[in-house]
Amino acid sequence: MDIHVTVNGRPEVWQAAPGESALELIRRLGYTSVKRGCSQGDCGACTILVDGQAMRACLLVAAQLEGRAVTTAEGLGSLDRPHPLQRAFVDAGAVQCGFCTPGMLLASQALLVETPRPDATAVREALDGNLCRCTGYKKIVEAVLLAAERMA
Amino acid sequence: MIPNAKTCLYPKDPPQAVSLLQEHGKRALILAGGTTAALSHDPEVEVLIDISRMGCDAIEPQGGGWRVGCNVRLQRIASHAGLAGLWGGVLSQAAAAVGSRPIRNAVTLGGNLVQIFRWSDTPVALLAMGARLELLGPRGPRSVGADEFYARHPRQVLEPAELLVAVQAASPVGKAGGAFIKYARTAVDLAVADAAACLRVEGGRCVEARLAIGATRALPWRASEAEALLTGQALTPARLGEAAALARKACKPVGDARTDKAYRERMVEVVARRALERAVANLQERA
Amino acid sequence: MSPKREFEVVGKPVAKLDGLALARGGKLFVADLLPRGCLVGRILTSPYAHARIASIDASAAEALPGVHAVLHHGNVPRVMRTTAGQGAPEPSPYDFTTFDRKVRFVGDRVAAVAAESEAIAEEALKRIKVEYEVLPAVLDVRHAMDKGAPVIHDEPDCKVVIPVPYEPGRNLAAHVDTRVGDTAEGYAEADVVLEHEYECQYAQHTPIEPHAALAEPLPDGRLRITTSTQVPFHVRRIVAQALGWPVSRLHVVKPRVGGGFGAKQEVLIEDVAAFLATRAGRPVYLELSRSEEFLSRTRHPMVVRLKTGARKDGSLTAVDLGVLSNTGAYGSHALTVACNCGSKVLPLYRWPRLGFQADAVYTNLPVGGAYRGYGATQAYIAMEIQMDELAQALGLDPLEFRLRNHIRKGETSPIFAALGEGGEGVEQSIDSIGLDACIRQGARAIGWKKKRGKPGAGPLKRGVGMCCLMQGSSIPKVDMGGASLKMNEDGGFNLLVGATDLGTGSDTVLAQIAAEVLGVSVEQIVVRSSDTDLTPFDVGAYASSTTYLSGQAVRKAALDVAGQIREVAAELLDARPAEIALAGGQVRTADGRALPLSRVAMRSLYEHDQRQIAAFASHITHKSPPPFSAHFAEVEVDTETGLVRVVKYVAAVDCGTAINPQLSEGQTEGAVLNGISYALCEEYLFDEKGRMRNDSLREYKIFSTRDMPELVTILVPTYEKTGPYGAKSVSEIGINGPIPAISNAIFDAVGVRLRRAPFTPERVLAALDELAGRQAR
Repeated sequence: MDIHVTVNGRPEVWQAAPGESALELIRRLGYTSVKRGCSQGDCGACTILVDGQAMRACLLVAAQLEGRAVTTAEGLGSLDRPHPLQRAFVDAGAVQCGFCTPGMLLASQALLVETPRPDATAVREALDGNLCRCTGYKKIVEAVLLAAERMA
Repeated sequence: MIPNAKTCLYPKDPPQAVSLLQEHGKRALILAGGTTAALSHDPEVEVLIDISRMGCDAIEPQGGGWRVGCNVRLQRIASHAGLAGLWGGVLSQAAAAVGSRPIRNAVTLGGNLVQIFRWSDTPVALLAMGARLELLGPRGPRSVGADEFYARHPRQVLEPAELLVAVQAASPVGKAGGAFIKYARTAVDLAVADAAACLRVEGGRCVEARLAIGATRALPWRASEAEALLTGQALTPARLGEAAALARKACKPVGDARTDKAYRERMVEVVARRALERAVANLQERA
Repeated sequence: MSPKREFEVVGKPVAKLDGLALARGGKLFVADLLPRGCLVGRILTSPYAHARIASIDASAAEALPGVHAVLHHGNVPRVMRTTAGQGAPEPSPYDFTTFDRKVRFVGDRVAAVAAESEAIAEEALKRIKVEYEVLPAVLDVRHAMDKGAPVIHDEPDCKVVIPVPYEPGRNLAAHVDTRVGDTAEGYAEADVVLEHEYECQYAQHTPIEPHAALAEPLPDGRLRITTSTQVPFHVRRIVAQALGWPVSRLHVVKPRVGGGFGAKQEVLIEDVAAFLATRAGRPVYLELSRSEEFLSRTRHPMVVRLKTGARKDGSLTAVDLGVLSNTGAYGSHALTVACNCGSKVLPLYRWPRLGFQADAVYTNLPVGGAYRGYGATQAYIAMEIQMDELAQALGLDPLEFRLRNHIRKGETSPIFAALGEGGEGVEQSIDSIGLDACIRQGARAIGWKKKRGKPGAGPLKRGVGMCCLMQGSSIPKVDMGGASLKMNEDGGFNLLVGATDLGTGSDTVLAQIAAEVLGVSVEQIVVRSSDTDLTPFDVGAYASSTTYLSGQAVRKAALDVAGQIREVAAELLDARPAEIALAGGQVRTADGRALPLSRVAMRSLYEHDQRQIAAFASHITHKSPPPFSAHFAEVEVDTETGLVRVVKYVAAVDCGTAINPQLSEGQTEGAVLNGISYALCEEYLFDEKGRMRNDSLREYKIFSTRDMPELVTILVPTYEKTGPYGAKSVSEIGINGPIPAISNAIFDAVGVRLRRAPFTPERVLAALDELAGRQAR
């Protein structure tokens, strides 16, 4: 079926089987920032924003994206003009292997839209679905707080 | 992935959803949040019915209580100011206890109540509040109490092509409190044991007590012996402890990869007592 | 003369070079790089813990449209080898072949397919008919060497390729025995002698990116393998061994790696991808599912027996450390992990007499391997809990007791010489140690004096505990790192290193070292790492070696290049080379004349006596200087549920000079949180048939943001003169502390000693019950 989506601000029509995994579909279309870490809804590496809400792509089927606005890390910023969150993640040392980073950024972005100046507890709560094995999370939480401060 | 789904339909309102369900019968699968459906791999399913666009997404005051549509996502319930005041916030706390943030962003109340697992958190809160469930089927609307809805698996309670459209919970009259306690190994884990307590007090004595337990058996259940012990009595710490012990005695839990029966049984007493204690601590006169 | 301690680039929190590209979600990982027409590989695994494959019929799978290759023991050559990504000759036994006639654990490989889609590949696996002759299994490590136990490696061709004990007929994969002095005498002199058994569990690294490899046949008959690995050069050598090819026919590329932690120091799927691609004549991508990842490689679970003696004055008299390591179905890293239990643990304290004995045994359970900490983690559980117990028995503050007994600068330990990677080690003395400062600063940060011994009232009890640690920095005389460096027109440089950045930031650290020598900023250094066609050899990312070892190779190459730059600059500036300094992207004379480096580059490349300014260097080490660390945990124990929550955790670490303090902190924090998660909830659960019951991240919990305590990292600078700019290692040591520190804190809170990890609520509650029972009697 045809699925009408707005991806990173641009309208697109995707050909997909309605029941296929949104994760596999999105990756097949080239949005490879959406990572496959478990395909079971447990790791958060495939986090995308659906109408601004952080969700796991592997727990959505293609048909659910019809008419929705999808944001992936590709849509957050450019090399010349990175999103403040991307900049803050780099500056704070929140990127180690970087595999969880796109998902972390999107979950953080959703938080900052809703709560522009969160405290550390709010950041931890917003990111509790995104697993990272490299950082111990400390610098990730600091990065989100740093971005919030810079964006204020 | 649902490998053989050929189409997806998007009903605009609940009656249309019901008629589509009627039309497609067993070949149809309902998508709400979709978190369970996405991993189902059911080869029989040919038609997807995405009910998330049929409305039913309001949290609204109703007759001194609240009505919550089936499509309201759990994260919204968890952070809703009005629901935080309903029976001490027992439903908000249960919604907040489900999974992680992106899971709560996706999962709907209706999905969580119908597509239940042993460890589902929100049904426990519904039992404790004495909530009612609004259903709509081919034969029209009807309302069932939470006790009835969870006496069997909800799928057996729902008639063919019947949908859960909303939940209603009345606010208590007078001095009342409630609390939901989840006990799990880590912050984002399925429960070892859940308890929700709702208590109402008049003249220093308990006049209404509901204590519901989750994660211990296939379905959540009411600890009726414990409730009986509390009703008509002053809610002293000792009595709350006795009630929790009765819940433990009645629970007959299952063991799983998380923990064994013996430990789970013991935790039922802990969560039951803590839920009762917290409910007593937040007893409030309703303005 | 004390060496220079202030630097321009070294010691600064330089942003990770690849950070922004990663944050933008660039196509940087193996799964992002698949070519058109790439086939999907899948592996059929054993449902039985121990069985012989009586027959295998793949004809129905081969006949399925869209299937391009099916592999099994009947059509893949048998080459006995190891999967352990170690230097040659490997110290791990050759007990593995790509496909065997026997399966030895649930999850062992049976066959593999390459097909046009995942669905077809899955269907093909279902159509492979396998008849098994099920054999009795060894599922209890304590009975693996019993008389009459099933023999797991009964094949006649398994062997070891270095002279070490190996008795597969008794399920003994490795054995070590070392003693110095007569420990019995030591116990006779002691006022307190303790002996206990400690136990730790299976765990998985759970990199968020699972193992993934892409194999592509090239037009010239070669094969390119792009793989998520810590050991690209070992991948090339070991896959060549399996294929029977010369290494030069293989090109191994490591793109960005989504975490490894030791799991990817293993040549685990590259051989299968290579065989599939070769047979199919098409590119093949193979990625482990999360459940397969759990059955890839693990931490060796161990039973550790520890006996110690001490005098009333707090001095130590003797130690005996005995290890029973479960290596699972194959002996990957069995010997070296066992050796590390002694070599990274026993030197920490001044034991006048010591004994170390280890058996690594086969079982029909998942396979052990390299995991951050590498044996030290397991043995420190015993050592650091028992040091606490000794202090308690002697009536001493455990912190003072450790301060009194730890190794000092200038001292050596007989273990260094006695115990190495399977055989003898390398004698060394300690030249840099900041452990006292780690202990004192850590104690202050946790509030040791204020919080110790104050559990509080109510059901939630608080306690603090601590431990001390050391690790090593590379494997002396074994590991080698190489680097090459060349200068470009703009005065920038290409740095090519065999070293393997698996997310740690080692590319950035190595660039900082080069930049420091060359007087430029890191932006002037373009790093290319781990490409077997382009970069020099390096053993890879393991044994805490990259900064210390590969960093020196980079420094040597950079010093050589700096010399060449001075020569060209001398001509331009009419000065002697020795007078010229490199700083701020310029060459400068003492009298203040300066030229940009680009001027030097242009002259060398285009103008006069042209040549490429470039150098190549390699480095080995004759010692493995330990980083040291002190960890402090504050816990809250719920005495009604048994749930332990870590409230605050302080890790003070001496890693010499932190080349990049932000990355050093990141290594420490990641290791610590992994360790805390391991201490409290990570474990494998098996059913009676040896099947893992919790092979998903839903059941096997690793900590999330909401589980993390307040983490404090303190870097205590020292200067290790054999390391680049004074650096030692930092990546592994941090994971060793949480189990003992938390156990000791639990004792402070509630008075029970937990000697078996993880400290699950059930175990804590059982211990509390037992204590209450004892007190009631």
